[in-house]
Amino acid sequence: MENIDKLLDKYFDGITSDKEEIILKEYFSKEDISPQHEMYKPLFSAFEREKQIVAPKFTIPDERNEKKSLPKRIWITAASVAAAILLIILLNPLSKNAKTENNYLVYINGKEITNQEKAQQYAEEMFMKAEEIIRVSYHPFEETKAIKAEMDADKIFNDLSVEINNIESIIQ
Amino acid sequence: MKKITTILCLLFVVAATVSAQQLEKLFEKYMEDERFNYVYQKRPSVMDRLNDINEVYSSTVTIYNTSESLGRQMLTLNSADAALEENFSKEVVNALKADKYEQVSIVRNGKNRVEKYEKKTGNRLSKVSFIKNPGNVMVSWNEYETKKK
Repeated sequence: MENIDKLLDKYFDGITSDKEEIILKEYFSKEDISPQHEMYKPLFSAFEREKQIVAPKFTIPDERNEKKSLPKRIWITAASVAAAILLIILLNPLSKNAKTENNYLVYINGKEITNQEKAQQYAEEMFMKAEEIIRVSYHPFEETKAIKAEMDADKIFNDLSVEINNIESIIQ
Repeated sequence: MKKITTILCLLFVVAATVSAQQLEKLFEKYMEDERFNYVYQKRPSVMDRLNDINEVYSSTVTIYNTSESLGRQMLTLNSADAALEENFSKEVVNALKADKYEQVSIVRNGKNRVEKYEKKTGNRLSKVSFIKNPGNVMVSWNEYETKKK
């Protein structure tokens, strides 16, 4: 018991050897320890518990690889996606570039008119038909605009003053 | 980080370009459809552009004098199917909205209805006439490039 007291004194002075610490730990791991040593038991059992905890493996990340490889991967992926999208747009057979090979491109009920002369004839006819509908539809609108312009008070007074001036010049 | 930003910007531009062509997609969708007629003219001649000259007198936009035609195309639906007519009309209006076209006029004359839309992007002017009359629906799309002074 005295031996344990001495060892405890040495332990708290920080001068115990490994062997002495093992003796202390073995002593405090027992159930039957003297009452005056009871207060130190939690301290030594805590050490024992800590010993059983396995520290997780911790690896220091390689900063050089971490910083450079990730953006590089993103760069490659993004560049591939952008290139793929551009390729799809450029190679799209129905894109506007494809249409510009001929002066006229005509499909009638889903069938292409390959003869350019006929295509031209049909296209002009179709555009004229649409323009005629637009012209006819806008005709009343244009007429109203013309009437509105004719009914403009400033214009009427200007015309009248010109006429009065003419009459006056004739009288004189 | 700069590279990522550049790529994201590039992708955004590509996405914006692709998404901003709903009307073209609509034309491409129906041009070979058997219920439709499609006509495309690469560069209308001076005579073909008489319609534009008329617009010089009727509109404040002097298109003929200030622009060069980049081509015109028209899609015509020839069908007695009222449901198809309605669906197609809705698609046209949605495409015009998506492409941010501005409606400049609507004229009703008898059973004809003509709606005109315009959009200016940079030096490019797009004009769309949407014609609805009994039995057919027409979408005419003209594109012009503003001449450099």
